[in-house]
Amino acid sequence: MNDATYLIYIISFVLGSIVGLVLSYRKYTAPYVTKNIDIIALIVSIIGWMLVINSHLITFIPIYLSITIGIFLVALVLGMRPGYGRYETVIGFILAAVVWIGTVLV
Amino acid sequence: MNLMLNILLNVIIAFLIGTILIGLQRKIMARIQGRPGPPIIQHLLHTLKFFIKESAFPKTAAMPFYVAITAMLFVIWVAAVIDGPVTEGSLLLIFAIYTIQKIGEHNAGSSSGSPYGKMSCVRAVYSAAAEVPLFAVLIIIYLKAGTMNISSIINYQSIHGPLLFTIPLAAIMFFVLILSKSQYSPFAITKGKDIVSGYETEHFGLLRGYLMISESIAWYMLLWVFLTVFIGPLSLPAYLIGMVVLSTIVAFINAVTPILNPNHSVMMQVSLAFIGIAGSIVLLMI
Amino acid sequence: MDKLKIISWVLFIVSVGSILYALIFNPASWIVYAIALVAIPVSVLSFGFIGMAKGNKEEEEGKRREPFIGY
Repeated sequence: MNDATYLIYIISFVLGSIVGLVLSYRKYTAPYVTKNIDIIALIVSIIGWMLVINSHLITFIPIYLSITIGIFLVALVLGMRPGYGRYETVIGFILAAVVWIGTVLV
Repeated sequence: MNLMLNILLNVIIAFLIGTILIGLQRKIMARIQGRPGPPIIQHLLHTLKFFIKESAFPKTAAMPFYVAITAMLFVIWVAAVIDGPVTEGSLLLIFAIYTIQKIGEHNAGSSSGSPYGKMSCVRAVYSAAAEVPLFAVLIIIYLKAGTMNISSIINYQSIHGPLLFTIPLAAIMFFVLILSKSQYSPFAITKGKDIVSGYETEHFGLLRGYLMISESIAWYMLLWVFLTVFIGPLSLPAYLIGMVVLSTIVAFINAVTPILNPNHSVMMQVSLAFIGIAGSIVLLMI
Repeated sequence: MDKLKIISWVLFIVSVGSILYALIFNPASWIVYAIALVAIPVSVLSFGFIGMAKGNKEEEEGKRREPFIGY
């Protein structure tokens, strides 16, 4: 991973955070009350973390492209309105880490 | 790679990561204090917001010095990026840049013509107490590794192991320096809320955003120097993880300590420096 | 356009031009360092001056009253 790829990942994270913030402010009107898990955010988070951690399993697109899209999706959930997106991020990360441990052991 | 492209990439990386780390620090501090805190991207959004606001220039400000000093603060941190990640040059230059940053804070405060700026300018001179441990750290590194060149220090560490384990007190002193440069730290006397915003009080709009950019690059560079000089040859992901860990530790400390009064802040830093220097000399002689 | 805007446009074009020159022609190291040190901050500052918002005309008079210089 060289400097240019690193910069692309960072810009993807920043853009994902900004988009996630804007979208989540439109979606949630109450500040930090709900404890329910949002299904769409959960799916986005799981796909994002899978792409970031397990990109070596996907062979039909170049690895830096899949990691960039993964980081964008991760930041979409991580950068949501404060108080939201915590459980979705943690669940996505744990599932992706389990798959990664599985690929390492196999 | 083309040298100018290398410099531009590293400056932009330094700015973006620095600003995200400062945002992460605010988030962790808020969570420790039992509140949700701002989104992590808030610091970057504020920096960009200031560029489109209407700026006012105080009539009592010493123009054009008042604008030029903010540009100088940016120039020195671009020099730090060139000296660090791009060329891995001399560590002594980082010390000089830190000193000029203090001078820049002093002049930004005094050129703005407001009493809060002047108080902060005096306190910036006080907080030069943090440079004594920095100088001692450089000497201890030189005595241990035999060089002040960053790439030679990296080579030394790939042979002999990280300097964090061989000169731990120097690492702690450098960490106290990083702590003093962070936001809401116990040693942050130049920007304490009793003097509104210190030297930044009369820098509105565009110049405030400009100062925030320099601050982000400064934060990234201080963490980069710590990781490079005390842990050694690291890959880019390892740098990122190290910086996140350091920012988290700093956030934990900042969340639970108040901002100390200037005299107490100087005494604490000088006492820690004294313990660090005496301890390191003893360890070097053993 | 007033003086500030003209100066900031000139500085912006000169600094971005020197950065592009250093990118394309790849001169000696010390020239690149000098250009990077001066041009990157000046370009960001002049870009900020160009993009700065301006207050409206009616409020202009109220903002320029003599300050209290009592110290």
